[in-house]
Amino acid sequence: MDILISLSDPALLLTIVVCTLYGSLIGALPGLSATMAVALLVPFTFYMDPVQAITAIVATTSTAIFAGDISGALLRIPGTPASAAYVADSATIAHNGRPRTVLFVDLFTSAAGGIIGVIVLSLATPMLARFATNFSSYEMFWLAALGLSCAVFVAGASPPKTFASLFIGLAIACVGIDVAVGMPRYTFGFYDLFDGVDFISAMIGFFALTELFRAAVERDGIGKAVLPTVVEPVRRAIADGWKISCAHWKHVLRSSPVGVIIGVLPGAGSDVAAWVTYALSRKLSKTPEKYGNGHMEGIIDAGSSNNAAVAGAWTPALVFGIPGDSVTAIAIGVLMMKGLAPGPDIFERSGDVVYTLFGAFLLSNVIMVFTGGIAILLASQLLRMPRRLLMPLILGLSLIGGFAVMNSVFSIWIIIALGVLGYLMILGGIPIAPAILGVVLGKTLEQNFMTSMIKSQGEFLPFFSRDISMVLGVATILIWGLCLLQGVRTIISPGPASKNEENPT
Amino acid sequence: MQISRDIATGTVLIVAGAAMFVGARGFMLPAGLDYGAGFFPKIVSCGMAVSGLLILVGELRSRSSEPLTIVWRALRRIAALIGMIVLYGLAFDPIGFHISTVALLFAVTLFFGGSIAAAAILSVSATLMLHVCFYSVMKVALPWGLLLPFAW
Repeated sequence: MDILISLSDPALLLTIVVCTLYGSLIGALPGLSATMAVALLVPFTFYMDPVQAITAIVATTSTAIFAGDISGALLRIPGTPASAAYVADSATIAHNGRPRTVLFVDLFTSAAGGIIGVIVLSLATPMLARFATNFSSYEMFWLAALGLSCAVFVAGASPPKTFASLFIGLAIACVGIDVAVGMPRYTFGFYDLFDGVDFISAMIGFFALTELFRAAVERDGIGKAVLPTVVEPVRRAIADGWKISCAHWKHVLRSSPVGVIIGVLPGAGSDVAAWVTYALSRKLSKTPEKYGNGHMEGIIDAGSSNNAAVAGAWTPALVFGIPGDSVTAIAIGVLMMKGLAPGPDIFERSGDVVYTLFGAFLLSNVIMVFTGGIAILLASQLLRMPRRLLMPLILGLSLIGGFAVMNSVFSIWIIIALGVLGYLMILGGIPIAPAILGVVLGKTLEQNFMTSMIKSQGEFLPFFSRDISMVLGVATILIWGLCLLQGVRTIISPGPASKNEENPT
Repeated sequence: MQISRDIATGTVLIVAGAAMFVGARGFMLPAGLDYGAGFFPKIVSCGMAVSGLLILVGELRSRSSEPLTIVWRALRRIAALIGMIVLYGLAFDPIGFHISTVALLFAVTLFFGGSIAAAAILSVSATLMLHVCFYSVMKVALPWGLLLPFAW
């Protein structure tokens, strides 16, 4: 009863409404991530009570992860890394005249994923947390390797080109101070590169700048149109969005728990959850050839799981004080600042606060449907803008967004370099999405690989010595073996070029 | 002689992989360990070169990809856009966010076919919007440059 009273507090409800609107704004801006939105929120939480402070973080994160899909669909530039996995599908559907429909599908399934995530979180927090703490560097290495295998299922290009893209991403992740011995690599004397290539700048370069280059070429009538021009009526978009979401309820139900489990694992998060569930969705689909060309299934699976992962990441944060992702790392700081030290006994010590937090999570996902809807309607007006005015706006927003993350002009050089690289990849028929996966997982993969190698003194056998690591390792090797076989088959009996190679994203 | 797209892609990947491998050989090993900072980059570089090789072999067997054609007009337009962004990057700190952003947006709007009036209105209003959004609300330290005496 106390929890219900706390949840109906007008100040708390107002916080949720304001923060979901704020999350929509930040998430929809290319280059600004959910982490950044939360980091900017921290100073305001000083003046809030504990429940209100944590609720603000929860509401902002949930909406920002969804809102990343808005610029992904409308501009082909993912607003947050979690939207990168299915940007090709959502942008293609938008381009075909249904931008609002695809965004409403995204919104409804994201909210459903978030709600399922909260239910799992409230029922299974201690159990999931125990499971997560069983993961050592061996399991994390295999998990990252398994995550990289998703690239093969995500991209529609031939296996050699998919792997080429993945290795380009991993090569970018190699830049910076080495995780094992602390030696600078491929930094060419630039101190700004010691921390590695900033992921947000990389994403802006790969997606936003390549899109601008395409538009520059198209201006001369050389390329194809890059932005959708038709916007469907709101009522029809909402009705179709609801119908499509309901028709795919099984996808939401199967992907959301996967998202929660991935969210629980430290270092993984919404980004990885989206990639893994998109790959799984494609693997299990009866129409895998449609993925990457504007198919709803992948969007629904990945969109619901990345919001479910937001809830999952709170499990180890609350029970062990281990952040599941960068947002919960900030949230732990806020919890401690408010005198709520995370730990296994948090349910006994501050049960009311924790369950109110779960309730706030639930409310945030419900309110997000309304505020997200407003954001979709406002953002889709962008498409009515002439492209000669929209393109400069995207450029300005992207460059300043990149600058805001690094606080250095160096971000502009990274954006240019990776924009050129991305455009060359497109010209060479190499898909971009696997490279992003390589950049996301590269550091995790290397760190856990080197830690494991040092622990095992160079032996590979200990990589399979634990139960979970053995299962993950065998699964990864099997998938790699199959991919290799497929790659060799492509060479031995070449078929017609994949449709995606014409326009890889 | 025309080269096909995949032959060019494969060759570039092999060369890039080889260059990365050579770079990785230069990373010294820490005392008492058989693997150091170069271990992982070597694996990645080999993977990149092998992918390039597979693309090359696949193309030599099938000859299915289209020939590589360079459209100089498209290349010039992309180079012009990059040039504008490079100039912006160079001017950002000394001249300041406001003046350089107005100049960039003005030039890019004209580049994409906007009129002078549209470019003027858009560049000033968008710069003000970016100022409010990033500087005033999000407290990003955007440089004032020449406008420092008028900073608010």
